[in-house]
Amino acid sequence: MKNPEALSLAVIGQLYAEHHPWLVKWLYRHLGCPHNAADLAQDTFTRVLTAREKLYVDEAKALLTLIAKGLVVDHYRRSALEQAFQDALASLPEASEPSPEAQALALEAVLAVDRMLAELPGNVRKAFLLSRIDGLSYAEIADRLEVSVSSVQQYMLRAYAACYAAAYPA
Amino acid sequence: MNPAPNVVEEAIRWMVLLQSGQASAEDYDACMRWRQADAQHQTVWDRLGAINQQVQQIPPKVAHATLHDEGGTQQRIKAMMQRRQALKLVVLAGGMAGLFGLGYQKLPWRPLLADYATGVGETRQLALSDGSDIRLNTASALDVDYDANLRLLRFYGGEILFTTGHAHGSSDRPFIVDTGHGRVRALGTRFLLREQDDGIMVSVFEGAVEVAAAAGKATVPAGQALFFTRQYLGVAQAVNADSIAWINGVVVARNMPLGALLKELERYRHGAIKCAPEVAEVRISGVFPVNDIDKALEAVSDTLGLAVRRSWFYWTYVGPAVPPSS
Repeated sequence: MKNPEALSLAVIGQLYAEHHPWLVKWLYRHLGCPHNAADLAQDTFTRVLTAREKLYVDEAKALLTLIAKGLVVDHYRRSALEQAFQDALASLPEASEPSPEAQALALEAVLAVDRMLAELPGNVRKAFLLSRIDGLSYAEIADRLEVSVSSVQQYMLRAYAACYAAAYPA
Repeated sequence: MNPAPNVVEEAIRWMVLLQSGQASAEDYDACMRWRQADAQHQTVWDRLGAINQQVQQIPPKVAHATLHDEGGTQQRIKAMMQRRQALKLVVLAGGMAGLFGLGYQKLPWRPLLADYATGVGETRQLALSDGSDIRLNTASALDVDYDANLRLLRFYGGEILFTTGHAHGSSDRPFIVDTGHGRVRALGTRFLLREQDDGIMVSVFEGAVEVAAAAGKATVPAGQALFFTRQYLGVAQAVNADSIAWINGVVVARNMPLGALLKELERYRHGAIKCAPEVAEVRISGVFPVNDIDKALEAVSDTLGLAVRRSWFYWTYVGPAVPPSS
């Protein structure tokens, strides 16, 4: 049965009944936490149902696994960044520690910026961070990365384009 | 409708030019004209500004430990996957200590309890339920108190740009900002309030506002600015278009006395910046970034051949390279 059309409620129900149990087990094996496994299983189905790609029900298992893998990697990446974030906060002198609201916004920003810069080469990513967060001039960034100032400008153009595309998808 | 890709590209080119540190006041003006030429230009520009703003919420030290350190992130991921333990969502720790830190030293005590506040060097954008757009510059504070009949806001200080919204019949509800020196009522508008010299400067960019203070009432139309205090109501003068350059993260100086420029830059950083009296009236022009005041001071001293001296803690002095012997 190859059916590329929109999934009917009946098909969704069937898909869920058939695939949800193994997916939760699979996620539990990779995450080690039942709550996270249940959450990510939910997210996986949401992604499948809202995916623009046409879904062939035959391939449901392969597609679900693919999406779930992506979500597991995302999950670990977010957790790793949160961990590093907390460690960094703990190392700040008490007086310069941001307020809880500012901390929450900063963490959210770290995760969002990480996603926006995800596809970029290391130098482009670094140039953008050095400019926007550390406030270095293009000349200083050029020195630091051992490239020309015009390369830094190219990096910045590329980084902004990626940020824009991630934040405002066409 | 989504802006065309070429508009996005042009906007990014402008943004990168203005940040390059090589932009002149003319470049800044040309960029301004480009933005005003088409509503879509401005839309894309604002979106880039929103991206900047989000990125700047990350303190540099935090960025170095997280976003800069891809190797470290990969290692942490590996360690977690090996452990495969329950990962509890990290609950943000921290009490009130941060609030009493240096971030608020330039604000009086009241804004600690304000609905919205920025620390020194921070900016913030708010979208209110009626569609109003509010931008707080450095060290600013605001309460928002909307009810069925009135949109009342309290301005506690700093500098805030208001663009009033008209969502679902909210134009029937007056939009009023109480400043402590008097009330400012919006008449469908975009206006800036700035606390200065123990009073309030209101600058109107679109529509008009009505100022009601103890000294009387005045209507300020677009393109005009007015200074008022509790006892005094000034005369409207032409608005300074550069006064909202901070939205783009810069201060624009055109033939500005050095003393005035340093006073302006001082608002964006902790500590005082003092100008030697003998050079306070020297004129300077340029575009200076507000997110790195050291850099701005360096540009100033290079341009004018002055020296910047820093005391060990709080004071920064700008004066002649060789101080006169006394």
